[in-house]
Amino acid sequence: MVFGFFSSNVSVDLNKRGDEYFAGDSVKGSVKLSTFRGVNARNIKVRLCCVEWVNPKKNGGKNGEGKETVLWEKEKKLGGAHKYSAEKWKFEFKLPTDALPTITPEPYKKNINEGAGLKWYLHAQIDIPAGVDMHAYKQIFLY
Amino acid sequence: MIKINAPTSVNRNSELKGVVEIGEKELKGARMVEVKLCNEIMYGNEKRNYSCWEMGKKYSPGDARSLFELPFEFHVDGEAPITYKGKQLVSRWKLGVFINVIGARDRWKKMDVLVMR
Repeated sequence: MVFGFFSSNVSVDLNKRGDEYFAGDSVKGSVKLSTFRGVNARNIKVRLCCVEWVNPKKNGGKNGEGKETVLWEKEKKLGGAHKYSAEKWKFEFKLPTDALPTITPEPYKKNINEGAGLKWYLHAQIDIPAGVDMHAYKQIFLY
Repeated sequence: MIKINAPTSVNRNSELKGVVEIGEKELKGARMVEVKLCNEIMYGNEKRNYSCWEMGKKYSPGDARSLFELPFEFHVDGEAPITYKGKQLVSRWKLGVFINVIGARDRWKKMDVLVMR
């Protein structure tokens, strides 16, 4: 618990309830850094990407077999080199009007990460010099 | 003769309706007749199918004999995978008739169906 109290973490939140979008929509949200001691970062960025993915772990595959092929991505820099305290950055991405819909391998499981398909997700990254970068992911479902 | 009369494409969140005609010869020794709409999702050069999307309707051989045409109707969910061929990923749908035969190989016929947004 003491570790949890002093540790820092980053999260991605969407402005709207739910994670469903249509081609051409705007994806609005925020990246939130929670920290007690502050974080020395080289930069903070968020990207929205569309990937073809496979993760065959389900039927006994080994870790590390997951693969992604990026089809589309946009990145936004939210901050440069600085010591950051707890903060929140807003972002907005416009989905292409011809954006491919999510392909999910199982019915009623929109955010499944096992199997193969096509997915859209937000990835926030805080680049820590000489340290472990901080990452946060948020998957969205595109109709 | 096994004949599938159905549209070759369907939009998501709508119905795929059709009929199947099966000749008397193909029904000989049949235990069960099934019409299925199945999705296949494959990645790279793997032959493995990752998809669990499948819809089916079963008929008894008696029904298949007494009815000239076997009607079927499948609702294609609004979140169902579209037909897609990308860099590594392929998603395709097949509509098939499968006749399970006692003591012999199953008889079947399949056709591709495009599932569109």
